[in-house]
This record gives sequence, structure tokens and C-alpha cells, in this order.
Amino acid sequence: MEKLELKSVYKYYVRGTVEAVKDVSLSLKSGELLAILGPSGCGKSSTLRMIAGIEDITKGEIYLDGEIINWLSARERNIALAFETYALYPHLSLFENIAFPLRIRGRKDQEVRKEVKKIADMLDLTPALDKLPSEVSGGHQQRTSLARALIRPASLYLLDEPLSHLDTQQRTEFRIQIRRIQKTQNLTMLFVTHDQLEALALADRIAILNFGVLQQIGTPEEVYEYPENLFVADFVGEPPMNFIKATLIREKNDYMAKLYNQKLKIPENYKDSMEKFYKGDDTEIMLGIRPIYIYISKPGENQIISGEVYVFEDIGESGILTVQIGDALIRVELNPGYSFKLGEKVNITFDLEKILIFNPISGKRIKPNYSKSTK
Amino acid sequence: MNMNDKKYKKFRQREKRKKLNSLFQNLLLTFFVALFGFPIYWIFIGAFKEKGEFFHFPPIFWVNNFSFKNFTSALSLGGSKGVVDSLIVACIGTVLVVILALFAGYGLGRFKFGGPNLSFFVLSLLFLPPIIAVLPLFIIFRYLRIVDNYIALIWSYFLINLPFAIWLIKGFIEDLPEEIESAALVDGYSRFGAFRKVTLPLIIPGVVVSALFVFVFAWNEFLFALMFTRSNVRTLPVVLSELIGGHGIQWGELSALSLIAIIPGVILVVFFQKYLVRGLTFGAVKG
Repeated sequence: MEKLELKSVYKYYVRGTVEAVKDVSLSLKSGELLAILGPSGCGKSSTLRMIAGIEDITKGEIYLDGEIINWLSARERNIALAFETYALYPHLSLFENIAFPLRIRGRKDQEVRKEVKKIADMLDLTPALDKLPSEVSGGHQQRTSLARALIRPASLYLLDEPLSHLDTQQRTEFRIQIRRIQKTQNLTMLFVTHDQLEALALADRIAILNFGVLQQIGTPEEVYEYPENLFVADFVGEPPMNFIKATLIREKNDYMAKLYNQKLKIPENYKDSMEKFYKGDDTEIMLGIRPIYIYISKPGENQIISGEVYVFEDIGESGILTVQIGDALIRVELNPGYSFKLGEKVNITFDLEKILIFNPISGKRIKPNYSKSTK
Repeated sequence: MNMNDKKYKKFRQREKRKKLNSLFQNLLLTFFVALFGFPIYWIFIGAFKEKGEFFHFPPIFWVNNFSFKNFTSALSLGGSKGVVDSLIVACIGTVLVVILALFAGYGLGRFKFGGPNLSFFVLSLLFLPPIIAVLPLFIIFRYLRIVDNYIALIWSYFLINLPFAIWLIKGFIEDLPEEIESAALVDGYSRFGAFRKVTLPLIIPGVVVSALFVFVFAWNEFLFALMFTRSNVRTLPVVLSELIGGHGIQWGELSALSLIAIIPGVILVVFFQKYLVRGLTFGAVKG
């Protein structure tokens, strides 16, 4: 059953002059963890706040457990929210901050202590429980805000950038904690982040927003391998996808992409879609290929592209080679063990099966006619 | 003379200048403290002097024979009623103003109720000289038959003080991040519950400061008190003014009663100093 459902939700600010969220529809199953991913100002926090009930909904409907909640106040919705700004109560100790939702519900003191201890241990907050929010670091404050959201039973948990102020090590650690809590207690969670790595690592599905418009919603694999458009392709993945302008040409029965004086054969499964898109030999297309799907060519290989080493970064577990071809820069992710000199000539090969083709004008991906990538 | 000697000399000169500067600063401060403190000191010793000592030449700057006669005399000359009436008017007025200002300030600060103009309009009432309100209020009070009644004074102080108190509390509310309150709403409080449990404890400095201002204003106010009261109600400033009569000034009683009048203000400021500083500078940080 759908736990949460947004139907064509809009949010306008300042009498309609600022459109924060435009026609967003998405749904969330019980026990699922959905990430809303997007750059800052893309409307992800607004969406979260509308669901929580602390922001009016300009247009559209939000359903929770099958019932419309548009007109319910925040407390009637039974939704827990961890704020990006923490929003801790400055006059209360961390303990009381975490205990706050339980106290409102009139729980017994003993029970409150037990619950707070449990969650504080899990989030490594126990030594600081007696302190005031102003006396602890940003990381502590963020974890307190997370603990306050997670301590009570709610039908939905909303986390607004829950890990943004933690250092890298803590981030990995609490990512695991959140995932474990969510899975073991079968919680339905929606979390907002601008960090694509966090979204890919944590979420069952990812919804990508830009300028208030939903770009794509899908599993981490779907958004990574089969982005719907250029924005998603560019936003998801580190190092980012390479984009190469090319022209579509037809030779005999095959379609080729012409780039840098080289012709690459477009895979067979694109034939029908290319047929539709082809408008003569100067039709422009945009090729997208992830750095991990580009290789250093082996001798004797054809369909190679030659360039010069622009820069090589050895980051231990992999090496990122940036190759200059004409005036374009192509990033290649390599296994460890390579080394290059600046300006050295290199030949690279694209894994043509993994290449994505976009309409350069609309930005939309042109899908092949069969294979699993028709997703 | 080598380089180091020169530098040392310069250093000594600089030190000397610093000392001179601080001496000058202290002298200036002493002068102003004396200038403003002397009248208070004069009242203080005047309250304990005996009749003859007031008209002595050269003036007596110390009390030779300490006596509390002036106090007993002042209190019997209407001073005790003055103190009680002032307390009644100031306390009730303060409570009313603070309660209403809390809600009004909250509404204006949190919901931007009425846009930016309404809240500025509220403040603009402050720029009105109080005397403008005296005549219309007097006519209204006469029709309502509440001249020479506590209600008339409480009402008029309420009108005069409300805008300032609203403005002050509105500033505090605006300073408080809205998300803290949203968190309380999400955690399960009603709007009023969130206000009571989260917002109110956090704006206590603002509440204390506005209460302080309102109280001190009502305590010191003379014009309205003179116009709207006769014999039934007589606040301290009115009683004080009556001690300056056509036949002479009762210096002893005047000093004693003035000293009594100063006490509440001093006590309040001493006790609530930390709130007062925060309250007076609250807008400064935000810019």
C-alpha cells in the first residue's frame, strides 16, 4: 500500500512570484526509504515542509495512509521531522530536547529515560546529554535533532539533510545507523539531500528535483545508469558523466556518431529510435558516457579516440585521468596502477553498450528500442 | 643614539600618552558622574535633614542630625496614598500591557499579520506627543464617568505603552528562528502549546524589559495623572507636585517622598540588569 502520495503538488511563495515546487507527484511505499535529491534551492525542503504540515500547500493533494492530509495541522499528521537547521530548543538540555516528543505524549519518566538512552547510545550522544545545544558542536546538534525525530513512533519520518554537518567519517557511520534503524524497525522515511553519494548509498529510490520540477524518480541503479535527461545524468555520479557533442550520420544501414574525426557505431538496439530522430547528416546529438565506461585502448583496437593527458589524479582506490581531445575534456576512471605524464598521447575506447544518447535541445534521453535499458 | 634607543624612547612616549589618556578619561567620567549624581545625592541628604538645614548659608553638604521626620510627615501628607495608588495603577497597567503585547507582538512578528505597514503604524503611535491624547481621553472618560478613577489612568497608560511593548516583543519574536516553533508543532504541540512551552521561555528577556519600561513609565507619569484624577486617586508624582505649594516648598517632605519614588526603579534595574542590556540592544546585532 502507498504510505505517502503527492498528487500534482505546487508551492508558490510571495504571492505566486516564486515557484518553489511545480507539479510534483510521487509516492512512497510502507517501509521504503526515498531520497529527494537536488541542488540547493530546487524545492526539496519546501516539499518536505508541506508534507510535515508547516508550510501551506498552494495546489495539489497529499495523502498519508490513503487519507488526504492537506488540511491537517502538523501535530494531527503524526509525522516526525528532523530539521536541516536542527531547530533544537535552546533552553533545554540535549536530553530534554530528545525527550520532548515523548513528554508531550505524557510518557512516564522512567520510560522516557529508557528510550532516550537507547537512541542516544545509538547516535553516540550519551556523554553530552546534560549539555545545552549551545555548548556542543554542530555535529552533536544535528544528531540530537535526528534523535528527536526518531525517538517517537510516527507514520512517516522526514529528514532534512540529516548528515550535512557531520565530518566524512561520522557521515558514513550514521548513514549505516539510519539505514539499520529504518530497516530493522521497518520505518517509512523520506530524506532530503544535495549529496548524491548519500542518496545513492541510503535510498531505496531517489527522486531528483531541479527548479521545483521532478526530473526522475527511480532506484539508485535506474537514475545512475538510465538518467531521463541531461540534468539527472550530470547531477548523479562522481566523477560526473562526460558529455560529448556529436553529429548523427547514416552509413548504409547503420547509424554512426561523428565526433573528433572519429565515427562510433551506435548500438543496434538504438536503430528504431535513431530512425525517428535522424533528420539528415547534420543532426546533432549529445552523447553521455560515465568515466568508468571509458578505457585505455589496447593495441589493435578500432574505434579509438586519441587525445593528450590533461591531468591525472591518483586517488588511491582509482585514478581519474582527464584527456584533452580538441577543446573538450574527457574524464576517465581507471583502476589503480596507472601513471601518466602531462601531454602524453593516449588512446581511449568507449564502451558503446553503455553510451547514452540525449536530444541536445530538449535534454531528454533518447531511449533504445529494446534491451533492459528501455527502462 | 642607536636604533634600539630610539625605539625605546618612542615606546616610553607612547606609554606616557596612554597613561595621560586614561587619566583624562577618568576625570571626564568623574565630572559627569558628579554632575548627574549630585541631584540624587542632594535629595538623599535632604530626606534626612531637619527644616533649618535647608536654608543655611553656606549650604550644608552633609546631614548633621539624621532624622526620619520628613518621611513620616510626607507619608501623612498624602504620600502613603500616593505610593499605594501608583503601585495599583502601574502594576495592573503593566500586566495588561504585557499580556496583550505578547499576543499582538507574536501575531505581527510570526505571521507578518497586516504586512509591513501595520506593524509600523503600531509603532508610529509612539511618535504622537501624549498631550494630544489628553483632551479627547478626558472627554471620553467624563462621559464614561471614570474621571478620578483607577480605570481612567490604567486605560490611558495602557494606550500609551502598548505600541512600544508590542514593538519590543515583536522584535524578540522575529529574532527567534521560526523553525524552533515548527519543531514543537511537528513534535505534537498546538500553536498555543508551542508558544507557551517553547517561544515564551525564550523571549522572557523581552517580556521583562517591556514590563520594566511600562512599569517605570506608569510610575513616573505626571500629565495624565494630573488631568484625570482629583481626590479619589492620587499617584506619587501628583502628590509630589502638591508639596510645591503657593506659600513655599516643603523641601524635607519633597526629598523624602522623591527618595521613596526612586526606590522601585532602582530595585528593578538592579535585579533585571542582564535582561535590560539584552533588551535594549536586541536590534543592534541584526542590523
